[in-house]
Amino acid sequence: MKAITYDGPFHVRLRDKPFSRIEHPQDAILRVTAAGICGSDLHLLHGLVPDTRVGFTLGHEMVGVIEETGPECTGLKKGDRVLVPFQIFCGSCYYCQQGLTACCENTNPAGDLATGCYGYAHITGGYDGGQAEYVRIPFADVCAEKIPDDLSDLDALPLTDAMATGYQAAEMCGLQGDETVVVFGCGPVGLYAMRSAWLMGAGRVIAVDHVPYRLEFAKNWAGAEPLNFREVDVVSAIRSMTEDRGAHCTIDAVGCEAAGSPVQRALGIYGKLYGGSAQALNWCIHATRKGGTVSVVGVYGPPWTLLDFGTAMNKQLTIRTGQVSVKRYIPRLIDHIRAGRLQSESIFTHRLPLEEAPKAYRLFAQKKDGCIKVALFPRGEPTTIH
Amino acid sequence: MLPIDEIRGVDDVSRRPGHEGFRPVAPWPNARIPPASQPGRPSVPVRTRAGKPMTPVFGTSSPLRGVSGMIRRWAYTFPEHRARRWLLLILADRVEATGPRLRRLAPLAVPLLFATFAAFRPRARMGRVRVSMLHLPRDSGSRLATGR
Repeated sequence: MKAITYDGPFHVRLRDKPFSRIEHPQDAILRVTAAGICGSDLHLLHGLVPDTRVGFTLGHEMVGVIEETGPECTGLKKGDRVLVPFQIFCGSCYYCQQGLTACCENTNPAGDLATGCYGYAHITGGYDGGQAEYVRIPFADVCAEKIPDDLSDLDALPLTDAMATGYQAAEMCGLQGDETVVVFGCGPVGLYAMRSAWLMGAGRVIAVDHVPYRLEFAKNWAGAEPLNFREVDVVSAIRSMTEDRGAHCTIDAVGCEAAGSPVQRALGIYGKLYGGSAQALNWCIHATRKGGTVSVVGVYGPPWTLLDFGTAMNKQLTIRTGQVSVKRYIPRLIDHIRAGRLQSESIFTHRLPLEEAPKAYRLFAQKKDGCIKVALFPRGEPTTIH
Repeated sequence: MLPIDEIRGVDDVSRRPGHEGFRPVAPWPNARIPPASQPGRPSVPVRTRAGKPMTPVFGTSSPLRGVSGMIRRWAYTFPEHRARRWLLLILADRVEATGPRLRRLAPLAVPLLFATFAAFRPRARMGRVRVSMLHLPRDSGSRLATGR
C-alpha cells in the first residue's frame, strides 16, 4: 500500500509498505479517505522530536471507512464511515474514565510522557500514521467516532485534532465574558482557538503572527485584530492595547518552532540543544496581565525548554496545558459545525492526492501559496488547489 | 459561517466539555475491562516502563535495528526525567538519518567519485616517486580537463 514516510530531517517519501493488519482483537483496519497535515507533523519533519524513525508512516489526522474489524471490535462494522482522534486510548483506565483520554496509560509502552499517537515519534508508542491507504486502529470501537451523514469528510477531518485542540485552548482560558484573548500563531489550531474564544464570550481577540496572508486570514475568518511581530514590539503593543496591563489570557498555538528570537532558534532548533524555541511561550508570559491565564497547546519536545518561568511565577499566572482529549469534544463541536458557528472545509486551502505529499509538506512548512491547511486524498479524488 | 456577533458567548461554562462534572467518571462505550493483550513485540523496548506491566496494545512500526537501534535501546534504559535518555535518542535519530542522506547524495557523489578515481589513475602511479604530494590534486584536475 502507498504511505508517506519520514525519510530523515526535512524529507518525506512515498513508499510501498506492507498492508496494515489486525494485531489485537479490538483493532480495525481503516481505509483512509482523507488525511490532514498538522503543524506538529512539521516538528517531526524538522527533526525536533526524539526517536523519530526513518520509514514510519506520518499522519495523525484521518477519516475513512472501516475495511476490517478484529473479533472483539463489536461496535463497528465494515463500511462504517468514521473519524479517528489522534490519540489511541483504551476507554477503561483510570485516566480514560475521567475523560482524560489524552492521558491513557494503556497504549504507550515507551513511557508516561503521553498516550499512544498515530504517526508520531516512537516516544508515543510506535504506531504508523494515517497518511497512507490503510491504517491500523487499535481499540477502534472505543476511539473512532461514526461520522454523521450530513457531514463531509472535510467537515470531520479537523475534528480529529486541530479544531478540538483550538477549542480546548480557548476553554483552558476559563473565559467568563468580555476578556481580551491574544492568540499566538495563525495556523489552523490558532484560528480555531480564536473562533472558540468568541464562542466562549471573549470581548476582544488579537492574533499574532509574522506571515501577512495568515494574519489577513485570521482577520477575515476569525474576526481577530492582527498584530505582526516583525513590525512591532509585540509585548509592548499588546500592553498598549490593554490599558498597559496585558491581556487577560494568552494562547500559545505555535510550539517549538517559534520565530522571533535568533538565540532561541539557534540553540533550540538548529543546534537541537533543547526542545525547540520557546519564544511564543515567553511572549505569552510577558503579554498576559498579572493573575491572568496562559493556555499552551503548542508542542514542545523533550528534554527541556528555555523558559522565563520566574516572570510567570511573579505575575501569579495560571498556566494550563495539555493535549486535547479529543473524544469528549466531538459531540459539542459537531453541534457547532451544524449550526455554522465553526467551519471546517474553508480552512483547507490545499487539497492534493497522497502522491503529492512531499510538495504539500514543502508548501505548508515554508508557508507558501497561501497555505493554511492541507488535506491529502489517498484515492486521489480532488486534485485542485484552492 | 455565522458572523462573530451571532456566535459570541454561545458556550457558557456549563456547555464546555472539559468543564469538571460535564461527563460522569465511567468507562467509555465498548471499553473492555481489562483490555485483552496484544501478542508480539513492540517497536520500543519494554524495559522503558520499569515496574509497570506491558501495555495491552503497542505499535510495531519501524522496529529497532542497526547502530541507531543499539543507541535507542540504551537510551530507553534511562527514565524519562533523565536528560541523557533524550539526548541519546536525538543522537540515534542523527545516526539513522545518515542512511537516507547518503542515498540522496549518491546520484551526485558516485559519478564524482568515479571521475576522481579515474583522474588519479592510482595503478598508473604505482612504483613512482612523487616529489610533492601538493601537486597531486592540481595534476589530476588538469588530466580531467585535457583528457590526458
